[in-house]
Amino acid sequence: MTTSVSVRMYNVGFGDAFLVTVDADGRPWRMLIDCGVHSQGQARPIRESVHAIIRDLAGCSPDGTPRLDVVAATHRHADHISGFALQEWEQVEVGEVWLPFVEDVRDRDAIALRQAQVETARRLMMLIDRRTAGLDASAWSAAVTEARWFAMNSLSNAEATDRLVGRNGKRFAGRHRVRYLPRPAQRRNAIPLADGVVIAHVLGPSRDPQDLRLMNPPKNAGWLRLDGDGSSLDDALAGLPLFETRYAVHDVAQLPVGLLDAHASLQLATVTSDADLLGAASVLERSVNNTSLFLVLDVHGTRLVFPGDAQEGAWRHILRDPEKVRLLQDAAFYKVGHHGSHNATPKTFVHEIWRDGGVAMLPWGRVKRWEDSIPKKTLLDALGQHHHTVVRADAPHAVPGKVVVDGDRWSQVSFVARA
Amino acid sequence: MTIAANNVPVVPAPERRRLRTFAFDPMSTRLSGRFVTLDVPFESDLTPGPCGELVQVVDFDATGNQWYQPIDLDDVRVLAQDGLRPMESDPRTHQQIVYAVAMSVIERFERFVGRRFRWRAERQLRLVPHAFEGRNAFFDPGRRAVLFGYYRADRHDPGPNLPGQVIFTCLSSDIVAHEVTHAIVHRIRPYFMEPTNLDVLAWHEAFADLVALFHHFVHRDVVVRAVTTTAGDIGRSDALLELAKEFGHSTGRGAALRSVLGTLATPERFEAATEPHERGACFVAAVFDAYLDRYQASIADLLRIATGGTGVLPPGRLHPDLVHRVADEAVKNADRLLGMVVRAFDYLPVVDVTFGDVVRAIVTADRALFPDDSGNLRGTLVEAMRCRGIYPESVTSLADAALSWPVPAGDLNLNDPRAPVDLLPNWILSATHDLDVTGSQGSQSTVVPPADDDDVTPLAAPPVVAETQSIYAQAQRWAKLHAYELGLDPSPSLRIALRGIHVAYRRAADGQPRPEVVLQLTQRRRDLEDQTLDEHRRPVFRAGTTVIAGVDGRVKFIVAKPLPFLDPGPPRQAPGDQGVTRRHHEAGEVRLRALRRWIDLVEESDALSAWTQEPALNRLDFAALHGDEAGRADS
Repeated sequence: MTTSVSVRMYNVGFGDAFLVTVDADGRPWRMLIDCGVHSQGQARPIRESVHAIIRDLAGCSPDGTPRLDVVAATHRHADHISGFALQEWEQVEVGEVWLPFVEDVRDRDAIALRQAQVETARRLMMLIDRRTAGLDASAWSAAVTEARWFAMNSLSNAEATDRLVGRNGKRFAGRHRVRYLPRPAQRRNAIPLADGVVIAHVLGPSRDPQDLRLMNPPKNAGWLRLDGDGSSLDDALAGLPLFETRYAVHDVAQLPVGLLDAHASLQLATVTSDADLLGAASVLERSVNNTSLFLVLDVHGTRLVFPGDAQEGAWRHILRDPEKVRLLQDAAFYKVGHHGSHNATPKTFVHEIWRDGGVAMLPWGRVKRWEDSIPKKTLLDALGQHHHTVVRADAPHAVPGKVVVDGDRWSQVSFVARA
Repeated sequence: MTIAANNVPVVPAPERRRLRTFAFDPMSTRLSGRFVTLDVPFESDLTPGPCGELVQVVDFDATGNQWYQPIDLDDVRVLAQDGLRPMESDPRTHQQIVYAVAMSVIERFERFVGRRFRWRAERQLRLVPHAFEGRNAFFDPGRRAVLFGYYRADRHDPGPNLPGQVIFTCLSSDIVAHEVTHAIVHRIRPYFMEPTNLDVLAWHEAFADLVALFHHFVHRDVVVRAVTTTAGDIGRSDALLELAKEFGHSTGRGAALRSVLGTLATPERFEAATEPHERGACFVAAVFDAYLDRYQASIADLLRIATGGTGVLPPGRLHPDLVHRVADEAVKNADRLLGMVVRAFDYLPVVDVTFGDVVRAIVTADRALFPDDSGNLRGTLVEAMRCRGIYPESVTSLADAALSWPVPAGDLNLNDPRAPVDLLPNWILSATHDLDVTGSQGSQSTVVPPADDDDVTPLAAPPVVAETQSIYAQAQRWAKLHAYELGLDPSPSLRIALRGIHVAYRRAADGQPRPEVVLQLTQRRRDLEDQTLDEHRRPVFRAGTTVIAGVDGRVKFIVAKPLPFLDPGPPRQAPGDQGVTRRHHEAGEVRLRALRRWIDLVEESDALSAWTQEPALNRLDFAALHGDEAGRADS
């Protein structure tokens, strides 16, 4: 008996939206993994992509009702879930929604962590707002602008998360079940779906306390504490004079020339750099990435790997577990993690673990500031060396018998799984 | 401004200037009611700022865009009272403090290293006491400046400070000493700013902390008080053994910024430490273990004399005479131990230093001066390091001979007739001139090294002497000729540069000075660097060799950090080679692998790496490091 498996990557831009369809007997099973785009890297308005997804679902539904068996939202970043904020999802019937356990309001491991991440993002935004107060956006430093993108990416996704968990009046067409994964008991993380045709292995995020630390948000931005009660944020002197005015020099011309020369060469105006904000914001970005659901969908041995945006550290617990490594090594498909960035696809995975000749899909859209660093060229080269077919969202091209495209809307790769 | 000389005959200028500072920050002075006085060289040409030969205080606040009136230390009203009484509310006293502490630290350094200290190209270090608002202070090599921040004390946990009061990092003698020491280290070993392994920046921090802590011993009255209050057990003295109390308390730590009090002398902490301050703190703790050990041993006889032979002190205070004798020992041992570490500096590699190298340099330098190690000081220090997990990796034992740097296999001499390095008369004579504080400066003090194309940011000052005629060219020719023995590559395409040359006179056990010449040679290996990155931004790969020679030119020690040779060739049969070429080549291969692994590791662990092509290594600098330290939650 053969089963057809397809993965369709919608070209949202710098963001993820993947529709997996498994058809064993004419009753297709469908899972949508993520639907969002980064505010700075949209290939098209996310609404267009959402419409396309819903239209595609309706088109292949016998009664015309768009239907998804599973929606998986790998992590709370806007570039993975922003699409779910749209009301159009109320037309779609969804069986269940999968979220990383850190989103579970009843999970004790998760509560402190999620609160810390959200609170840190909020405080970072406060700091950034303060530093940019009164300045036109064009006058912001590159570092502060980028820091703001990171903070924004972690913030203000409430409408999307509300829909995914079905609260505050946000919902899909009917009621849906929510699963927070992985479960604490390891053996319960191989989840049979589609009458047992699909087994979903949930490999991450890790619940190991050691690994949980990788998800901790930054404690400080430079010298400003972001943890605790955040009181250090209110400590700024706000232009208060340090000394009585009689100590101030009112006529600079009186100063010795040597001091004035030194002052000119010191360029002290640029001492307060924004690098501290950017550093903290990038740590926050990575912390949230590391909460990503890491899924392997197994259809009679045809395996599809969806690591979300798990970065280097978040792979470690997987790579040290031989059973998990076995699931990865003969994968037919790999969703390139974190848009092809430097440390989201371990070198050992590409060079030593994953067998040659698979298919890799790269969800990517141009963000000018990152275009030289993401996707990492050495990663693409390495995938090429190992004879993988790399399908890029931004440059769809058909490969007969393997990849079909629909203009620049989506690319789709298909496999045949034999029981 | 020169002070008027009204007396006839003219009274010569004083040799020393006394300046008051806090002991050692405003918080501690408020709690103890005490100030201390630093005794620094009297600079006759000091101008308002203060602006002297070595340091210039520039009191401009960038955050407030405000200049503050510069102090004139030669004002008789200031001179006559050992400087102004330090006050948080008077910025001129802040200028006085940063000047005094910086000068004192530099002078102390000179004393131990055995030569005059000059900044590169005679360009002063700038000290900016109110540079910016922030819980941070740092040395910025690009600006040649130490920038001090100011901030409000924590509102909820300010320690013994007012919630929200303004704290000035420039008023902490410890912070000033620490940051100025960074600048001194940068002067002698500029490539220690290139973090090519876990230890490089950690050594910077360790040394800066060590100098700052041992600077407490400069104040004899502080030591006397510590001996009095602890009845001689100064290992319990927070006044001596804690750093930056006000900073620590005002930032909500509930403790001093760093302390060597009461940590366990076990290797676990060092093995786990990756953050430079934390890792450096292990080294500092080991030095203090050795210090306290030697101190206890050296006062044992005094205690026996004072107790009728039992050595067991009765309860209560010590006799004031005994306090002073014990304090003498405390100061003497502090000098001896700090001297041991400072002297080691000339014996360190030029690049890629590790704590293991530091141990070897300490042993080699000390052994040359104190071959007998009669007080077992050296042995005690090596043992204290070992207990805390700090030891070189590739030595056969911890015995003196095994720890010393290797001596060159054959006869290696700077006066090689084929390519001589002309040390006499210029360099040796000049260094001797420099040591005479009453005479004129040596002729070579002002010789500026040529700009080095291999530096990421080459020094801007133009060379005074054409490179082809200078000692720099001579040293290059000599090094090319002996490249294999030095662990450098002789290929014509790879330039060898002389990074520095010093003549030092260190005093040995017999009381006589031991003159020594130290050369630092470097060689950038562009061919081994990551070719996919821009050559001005990518991590720089350098081989480097320190050559220590006698004034007769005979090379005594070679401290090499090689990289693999382009052409290691067949095992060389040259007389005296004895497999040296192959050993350097193999050591180079090991080092290259380690370097690449380290760069990958730094890249992987930096959250920004994903987003930029800028190598993560370039983001490890002091501003970032100290900023992080300041805000780091205690773990």
